[in-house]
Amino acid sequence: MDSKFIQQFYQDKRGETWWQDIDPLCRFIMCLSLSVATFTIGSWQMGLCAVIFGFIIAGCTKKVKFYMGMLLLVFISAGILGAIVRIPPHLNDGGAIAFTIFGVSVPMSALMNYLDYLLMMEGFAGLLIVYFLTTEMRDICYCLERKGMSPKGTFLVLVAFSMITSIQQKLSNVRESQSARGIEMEGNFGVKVKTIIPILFPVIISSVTSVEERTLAMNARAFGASRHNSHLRNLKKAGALDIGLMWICVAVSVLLIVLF
Amino acid sequence: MEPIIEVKNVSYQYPLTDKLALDNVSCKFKQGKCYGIVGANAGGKTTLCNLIRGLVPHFYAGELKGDAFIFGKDVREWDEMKLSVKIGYVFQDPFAQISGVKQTVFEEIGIGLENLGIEHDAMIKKIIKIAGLLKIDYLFERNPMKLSGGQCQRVAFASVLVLDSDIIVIDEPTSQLDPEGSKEVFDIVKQLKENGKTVIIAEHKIDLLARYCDEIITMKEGKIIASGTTKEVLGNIALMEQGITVPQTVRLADKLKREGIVLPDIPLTREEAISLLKERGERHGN
Repeated sequence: MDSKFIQQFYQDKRGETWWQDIDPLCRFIMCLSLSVATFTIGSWQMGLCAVIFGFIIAGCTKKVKFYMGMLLLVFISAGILGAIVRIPPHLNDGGAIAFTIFGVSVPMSALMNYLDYLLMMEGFAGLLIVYFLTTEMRDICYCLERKGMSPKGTFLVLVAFSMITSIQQKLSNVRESQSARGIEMEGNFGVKVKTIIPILFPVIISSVTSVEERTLAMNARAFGASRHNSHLRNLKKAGALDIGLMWICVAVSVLLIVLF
Repeated sequence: MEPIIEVKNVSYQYPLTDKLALDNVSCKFKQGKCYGIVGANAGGKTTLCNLIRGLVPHFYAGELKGDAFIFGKDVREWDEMKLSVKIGYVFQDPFAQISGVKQTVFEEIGIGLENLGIEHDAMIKKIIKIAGLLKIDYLFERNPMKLSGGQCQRVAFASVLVLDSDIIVIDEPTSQLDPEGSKEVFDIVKQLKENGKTVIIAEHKIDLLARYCDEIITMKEGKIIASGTTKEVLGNIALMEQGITVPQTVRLADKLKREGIVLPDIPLTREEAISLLKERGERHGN
């Protein structure tokens, strides 16, 4: 038995980095307020600042790869949507032409509008992405419970998130089984999609039916037997610094919204 | 001694089925004793465990006839949450008993204690004690979703034992364990019994039940076909005709009897068989 491992349960859990050391709920309010400000202001400058802020946090918490990957997904989806909804209404605007494509001249105003939209979306999503990348769901649930949310409610949240892992695991098991039976499961993206579709529905259904197992498992552990749960892992309570940082972020966000 | 669980003429049918899972079942369980429930698959063992634990009729709907009393109170009247504290239940499938929301075995074992609101330091002490008993303290840091069958079974067992319930119902606790592991689990059952707990085990490993149980209930197609002390039930070779396995030593004694070598008593364990064979040998001067 590793006494060092046991010892950690006697101390309040602290984050590995300065960012993760801030109370999860305070961090959430910080990210949310800045996200809302980015969305409300809707300029490329604010969006870029939010993306950079997210990048710094991702860098400090060693989540840059995931952060950039998620931002790329947002970039592609928001980029396509923006090209459809943001550029056409501005094509007849006067002023300097930014570029011409397939015989269509795109004015600078349309391009700037598109950039505003794209970076606003990147900044808005980026801050929320970096929050969830750097915060464990169980920590969020713990804080919510501390704020008065019922243990049943937080358990539901945790189970819902663990279902994602469960589906991934089952999908991987079924794919391996199919491979062992000689069914081609590997190949290019098209092949992978083609092979996953027939097994996806049964896997999701089987994960949903596992809810009964989970219910029984928790039933055997006296789930709901007491009104007040205790916790093996305790997070440190939000200190003055955490609350101070949170209010600074909220104040900055409100100020930015008012000014711009 | 008054029984703490009494099942009277209970018949039960799961929803959407047309066959009785329990058919006019009656039995009693007394405090501090170890009971074994044996029988072929689909014989009603798990359903009887579910009834004792209150999952029938609270969790599984279906038609329940007859009466079942737990600590003198009808199972239908029990608050299921209170019953979950009074009666610990280890399921047949250990993987189904993992909550999926804890990241380490240590926390997984403690989940029930958290639900009961046990004080922090007391929780840690209890987990360490139970894990030591089941020899799983080396797994503390492991992810409970990534354990082998045997490890998972021990963790599931520990997570129920840690609640310190008065009655412990165990459905095939050794299905994933090797012979040594199975013996260790039954040694813990013995300790529980010595500490005044009532243990009810549905199990196929008849030789272990013969060694550790006080009373045996045999089931077939939802009916109890024999019940009584371990010697009365498992010493009855005629049960084999009903598809119920009896201990190897009982079969040996029966074979010897047919060969004209009659032992003074029916041996239920290997040690008993050796002793009886020696006794007979001494009597006959061999």
